[in-house]
Formats: sequence, C-alpha cells, structure tokens
Amino acid sequence: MSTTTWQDWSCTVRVVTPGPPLDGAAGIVRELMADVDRAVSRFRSDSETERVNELAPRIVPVSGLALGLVAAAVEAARGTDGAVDPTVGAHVAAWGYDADIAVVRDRRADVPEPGPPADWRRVVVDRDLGRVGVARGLRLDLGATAKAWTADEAARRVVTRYRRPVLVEIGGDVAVAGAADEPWLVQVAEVADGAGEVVGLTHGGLATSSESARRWRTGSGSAHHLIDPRTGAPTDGAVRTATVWAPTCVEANTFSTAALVWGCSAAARLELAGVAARLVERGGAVRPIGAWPGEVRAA
Amino acid sequence: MNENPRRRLLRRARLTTAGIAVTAVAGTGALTAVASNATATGDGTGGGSTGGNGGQRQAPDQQGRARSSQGGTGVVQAPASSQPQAATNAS
Repeated sequence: MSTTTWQDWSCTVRVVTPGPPLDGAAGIVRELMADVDRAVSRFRSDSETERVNELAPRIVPVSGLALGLVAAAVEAARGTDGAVDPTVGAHVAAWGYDADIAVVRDRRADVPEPGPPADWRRVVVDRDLGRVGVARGLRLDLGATAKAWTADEAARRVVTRYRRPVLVEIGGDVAVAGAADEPWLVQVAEVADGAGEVVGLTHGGLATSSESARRWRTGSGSAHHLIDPRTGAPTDGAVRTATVWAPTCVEANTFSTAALVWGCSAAARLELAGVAARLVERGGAVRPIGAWPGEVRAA
Repeated sequence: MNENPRRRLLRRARLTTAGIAVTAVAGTGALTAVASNATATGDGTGGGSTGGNGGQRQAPDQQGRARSSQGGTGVVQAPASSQPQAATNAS
C-alpha cells in the first residue's frame, strides 16, 4: 500500500493506492484542487464565485467547472430541502469565518446583526449562457460540497488514468474508485486523532461534519462554521457530529452537513435517504443509522 | 389483376412504413437489453462508472446521480484491530 500525504486547503490530503506508488497520482489531485480553488474559493478575491458575489445580482460568465460546482451545490440544497444552502457565505463570514481558519482562531469575532436569510432558490445557474448569479445581499459558499466533489473527481481521474484502485482523502472527505481486493480501512472520529472506530469502505464516499472543529471565539462564546440556513447562526441541535456513507463523497458530505441542521429529525431523514450514518448526539451517544456497522455506544 | 402505378406506390409506402416501425421496436428492445446488461454487470466498487467515459470529466452536478445507480451500501465492519489507511473527521 502506498500513501502520499500533504497539506492543502488548511487540511490533510491523502492519496492511497495498493502496490507501489503511482507517479503522478498526487499531481492529478493537486492540479484539480488548484483548479477548484481558483473557481470557487471563498478566501480568494479573484475566485470566480467571489466575483459573482461582488457583482450580485448580476449574472456573471464563469468557467464550466465553476458553473458545475455551483449547480452541484444547488442540487445539494434541493436534495435536502434547503438544509445545505450555498448562500450562507455572508452569514459564515459575518460570524467571523472570513479568512483561513488559522487566522480566524487567533482573534475574537463580534456577534453579527441578522442579515438577509439564506435562500438557495435565489441562485441562478444559466447553462446555456454559462453564467451564474446570486441575489444581492447573499454570498455563495460551496464549503459543504466543493471539497467532497473534488475528492470524488480526483479519485475518478486517478483510476481513469492508471486503472488502479485509489482512495483520495481531502480533509476528512474520503472518496474511493476502482475495484480494490479488500475494503479500504477508514478511521471514523469527530476530530483528527480523536477516539472513534475503523470501518471498511468498499465504494462510494465517507464524510464527517462536526461542530467540534473549525471553532473560534466570539463576543458571546464560541462559534463554528456550520450555519443553519433557517437562523443564519451556527447549528446547535441534537447532533454535534455526523459521518455519512453515500454513493459519492459529495452526497455523503451533503447529508452529513444536513444532519447537523436537521438535529432531532436527522436519523429519520437519513434513513429515508437510504444512506448509512454514524451520528454523535449532543450528549456524546453514538447512533448508527441504516447499514452502518456496530451498535449504540458512547463516543 | 393488374395494379395501377398509384396503388403500387401506396402499397410500397405502407410496407416501408411498417418496416421502419418494426425496426424501431426491435432497436429499442435491443438498446434496453444492452442498458440492462450494463447496469447488471457493474462491479459495485465505484469503478464501474469510470471506465466507459474515456477520462472525460463529468459535470459536477451529474457525478452523484451517475454513481448512485450502483446501489448497495459501501460501509462494512472492519476486522478487529485494523490499521486505518485514511480518516474521516471534521477538519
């Protein structure tokens, strides 16, 4: 088994393949990440989505990659009844997360005044004209989908290029592609190096969303990066961490994010969606959902 | 009985139309069979959808639906004391 690991997007990136290292596999992932960064990063003033945000409500020409990523984010919103909303960019920035998390952690943010409510239905994706727009007062933030989509696409590109099974992990978003002889072994935890369990992954993707990471101080306590679109504030419901398996990593991350917004109804909704999940409830109890292996236990 | 040229032309047109219809039905059946076979022979490993598109990039919002057709859960019990190869956690 060969593993290549590096740091990017403020997180760990890992490419794992059976057998000897694949020269160039990491390069494929790096190149894609750079393309996605240029297209939709919230922390680059020259990214395409930041240009869309700045020019709102104009409908702005964008690349096929940016247009597709925005469309995927809108699809995630539609599939979760708006629980995962790509227009929370202004809200998460207002709560203080407007720069790299390392910078944000070193300062104290003010609690924001309520702004316009997020509304994914006010995003325009015009495929014919290759343009994207968002309503004035809202800002696009593809944080719930872009990283996971990148893991999916990177895995797909590597297996297409080399015809070897591969696992790609980007900051805890895990995608696999190709026919591996054995399930991939993945550590599931709330935070890096935290307590958890190891599961086997045969295909699809795994993603974890948690209130336990990407936290910072505000004038009224701490905040985190997962915004409830209904309130415009960080989630504070019955589920503090959700790990989800789905046929793709972007679906997994969509549902893991939605689970924190759904709170008490997350288990029922995830069952209906047909995904497998591991929920950590507010008090620390771990609850397997669907075909997730294992029993109820403490985190 | 002699058939006048106009009647002969109409008869041939009807036969041609019937032939086209039969060919279309047969073709649809064949395509359905090919599609069913392609779905049934997927290996369910996540690689089934990757080999047939020649490395072309899938549209980001079409990626999920394409792979969702594989079905079956992909998370299973790991052997005791397994050493993980990757990790999923909030970062």
